[in-house]
Amino acid sequence: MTLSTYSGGPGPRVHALIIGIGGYDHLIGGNSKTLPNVIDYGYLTQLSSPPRSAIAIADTLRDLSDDFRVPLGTVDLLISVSPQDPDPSGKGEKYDAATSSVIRKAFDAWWARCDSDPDNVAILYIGGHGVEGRRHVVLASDFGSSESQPWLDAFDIETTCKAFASNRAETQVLLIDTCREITPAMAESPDAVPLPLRNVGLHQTNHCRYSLRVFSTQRSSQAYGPRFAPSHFAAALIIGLRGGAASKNDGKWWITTGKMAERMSLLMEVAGADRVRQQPDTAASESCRLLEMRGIPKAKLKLSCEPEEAALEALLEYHKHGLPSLRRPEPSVEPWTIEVEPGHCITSAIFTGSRFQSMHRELWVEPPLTRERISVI
Amino acid sequence: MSALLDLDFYSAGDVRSVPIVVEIVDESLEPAIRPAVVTPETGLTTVLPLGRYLITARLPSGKVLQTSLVLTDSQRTRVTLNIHDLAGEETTERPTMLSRDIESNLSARPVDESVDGSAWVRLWEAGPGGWYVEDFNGMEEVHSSRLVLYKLNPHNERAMLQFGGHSHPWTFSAIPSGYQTDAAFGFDGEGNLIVSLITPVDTAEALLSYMTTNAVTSGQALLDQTLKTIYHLDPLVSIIAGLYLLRLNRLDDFRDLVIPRGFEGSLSVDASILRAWQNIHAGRTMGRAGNDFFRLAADELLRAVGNGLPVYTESLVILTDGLALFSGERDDNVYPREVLRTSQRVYENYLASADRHSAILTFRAASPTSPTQSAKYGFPYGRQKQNPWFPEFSALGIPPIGLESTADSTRRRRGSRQGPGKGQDIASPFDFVRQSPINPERAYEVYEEALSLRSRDPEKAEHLLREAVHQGSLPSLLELASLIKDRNPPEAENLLRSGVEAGSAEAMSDLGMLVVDQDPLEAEWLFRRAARAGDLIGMNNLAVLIIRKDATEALRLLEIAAAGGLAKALENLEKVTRLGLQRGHHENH
Repeated sequence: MTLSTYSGGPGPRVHALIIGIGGYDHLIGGNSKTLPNVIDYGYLTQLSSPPRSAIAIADTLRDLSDDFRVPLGTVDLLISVSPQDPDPSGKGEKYDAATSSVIRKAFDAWWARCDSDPDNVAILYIGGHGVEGRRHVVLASDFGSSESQPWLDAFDIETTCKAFASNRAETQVLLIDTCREITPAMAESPDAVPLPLRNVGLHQTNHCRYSLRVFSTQRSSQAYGPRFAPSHFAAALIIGLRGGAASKNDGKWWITTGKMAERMSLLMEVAGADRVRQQPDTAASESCRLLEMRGIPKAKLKLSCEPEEAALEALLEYHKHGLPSLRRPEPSVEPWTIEVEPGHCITSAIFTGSRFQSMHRELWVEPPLTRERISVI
Repeated sequence: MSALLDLDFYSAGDVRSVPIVVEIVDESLEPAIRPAVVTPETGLTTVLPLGRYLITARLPSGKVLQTSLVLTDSQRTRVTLNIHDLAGEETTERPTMLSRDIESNLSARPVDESVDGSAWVRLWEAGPGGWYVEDFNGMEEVHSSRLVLYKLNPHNERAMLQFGGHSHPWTFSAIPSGYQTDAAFGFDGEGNLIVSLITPVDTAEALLSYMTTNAVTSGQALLDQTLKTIYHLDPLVSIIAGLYLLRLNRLDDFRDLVIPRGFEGSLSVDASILRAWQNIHAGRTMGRAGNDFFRLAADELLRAVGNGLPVYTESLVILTDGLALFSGERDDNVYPREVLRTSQRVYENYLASADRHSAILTFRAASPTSPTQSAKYGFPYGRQKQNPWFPEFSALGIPPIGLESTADSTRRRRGSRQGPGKGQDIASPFDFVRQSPINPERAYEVYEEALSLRSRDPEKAEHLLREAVHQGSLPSLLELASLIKDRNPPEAENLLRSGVEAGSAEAMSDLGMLVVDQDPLEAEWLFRRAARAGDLIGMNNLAVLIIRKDATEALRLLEIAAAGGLAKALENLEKVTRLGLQRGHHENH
């Protein structure tokens, strides 16, 4: 375990457990003997993205540590590096491998930390290989160490998420970034569901009040990420935490669980995900404030013309009261993307010729992205 | 200084009581009012300080209507939001406002152009001993340019809609009992069938849509407003509110909700499930004294199981969760654990085949009792496979959610013989399905005989195959096409096209091979459909065609086909691996 403590002492804290599983000893390209019937498990290989996703999310939490509703308490980072990417942080840092037993131990410890105060905020991020049968299953880095019982080194994350509702931390953010494809092995023995990290009990009391649970992709679909970079889902979370999920209230900008849930698809798109291939699966309860932003968040504004070719002759402008205007340097058929302050503005498409009509449009820009097509016919 | 704002809505259809959540923000996006629940009939009147505002109306379907205004003096200002333009047609305003599927996916293309007889729908009803295909007696209410809308009128309180087509898997959808439900059919931009079931209860439908689209702010505003009238709730609203409160973990409100006992048929299952969870939560707050509540909860779960499938997907999710709580491995006499365990397995199968994003329970299956994760395409045709119902379920004497009986299958075949022209078996909202006269037993015998003669007496084999094809045998059709393809390619092609029309993945693959030289695009389309239906040859062939443009997808297809035991795919996989072909720059987890 790589547990970092930021703010000790009494009182509520944010406690995060961040797991990035990229190296799988017994899958293709791993450091040990490959599982003989690996093709039945989806022909799974090593992953460079989850460790980098986990590191990027942990770094983001550290950067924002002073902005959380309650101080950042602990971040526990478990990483299994891919043999193809042995130093994902670029700083030569060493991590404990995210094996089944290490994950279970870290989960129990994190549970206890979160359980210590109802005002705690629990954050869980898991990236790695996942499959789906009756339940959504995440594979630990030693998956397949037993050829006859490979599922021993995997865990049922769906039941784990349900069980976590009995933890006393009222704010629970559970983020699962894995594929959810159904593999032949799951179809072959659908009852071979691995154990959860915690069981749901009949007598368990449900303490969770503000929950945000996001799976990075839909059931039976894949999750994607660029090689040697954080996944699209991790990137979307980071964009969201840094202002993409911000909304204004009482004169301040807040990142709330509700806005994270409502904007998850858009955040993924901003992060580069293909919306056709990967759509997040989100469930949220009552919204609560996670972070207060120090300043005004930035929002992307994507301006184009209708018809598209008009943009080749258009002088595109952005005006916001009290700020200097922005003007596109060169016309182009591609949309003009700029980072601006959220709120009211005026956008213009100005033409010198007579083919199209110059237009000014009133617009409200919202994070993380607002698109505007100015009709000039 | 402030001014009065009047917000109203323009609509031409009957949507006056559909709830809409309105938000108003100022120039800096600071909320000027709390989210307000209005209807097109009531509109909204509010007082605002002078200034510039953005008004956003969030429809339950997820669509957003916005307008801006500047309040410059203390006069009354009127603003109108146009719902009618959003739907385009008066008759489609309600589904467009309430259904996410209709709003976000429906193609602008005229439905009659998209259809071309490529989809079908039929009604199943539960009767003594099993499920039966019934006359599709829905009344066509709307046939607009973009969708067809039927008012469903099942005779039975336990009924389901089944639909499918050439490019839409065979799918069942639960029908809420006791409400005259609208079934809207349309196509998306890619020609895929969209089906949406909407009850006449606006508040229930709006709550359900906000819940399934994760519209957190709007959903909670409407839920809070709804709970203020808790003693006057429509029974259906109480069910949806219960599901929503449970999702939101608002357990005190959930426990106080009255779930009526008067439901008959499918909605009684949802009601029992919710009452079970009310008892579970009551038991949890009572510590050791909670056992009586747990026993009541188990009784309610058993009552739900005895009545079959719930109407709502969320109900199915919490039903399996509830069953899991009581079905532990302990052997005691407190709960009938064996029954609960078996039921849990049965319902988990439904859950595994269900579309989790559909508010109404929707699952892939050829019959109501055989949920499956694989997709079946095409039209009901000839010998439908009789899926064995879970034997342990019947052994336990649990009342039917559809023990598929001989009577069931006989009746279905008889319906097929009468043909769709008589409206007995299948009705399509768009086109009646072609059904040939059929004698499956005879066709199968002839087919077997033809196979045995194929090498010894090909002429006789061909004759027999033709007879079997005439009797509706799909395997014979494929065999005949293969036998004559060198001698008579046009006839072979025609045969295979009939097979494709009937939804045969093998025919798709075979036809793809036949046309690949002249029309690689059509071949790719055919292989893709075959691959989607799980045909390994289709996957291999598609992989070969697309390997240059999408190596990642091609490799994935080859891996699946090879894992499925197709030697050619394994050979191809080895070849491409030797060539060092890599996946694209993306990796999947």
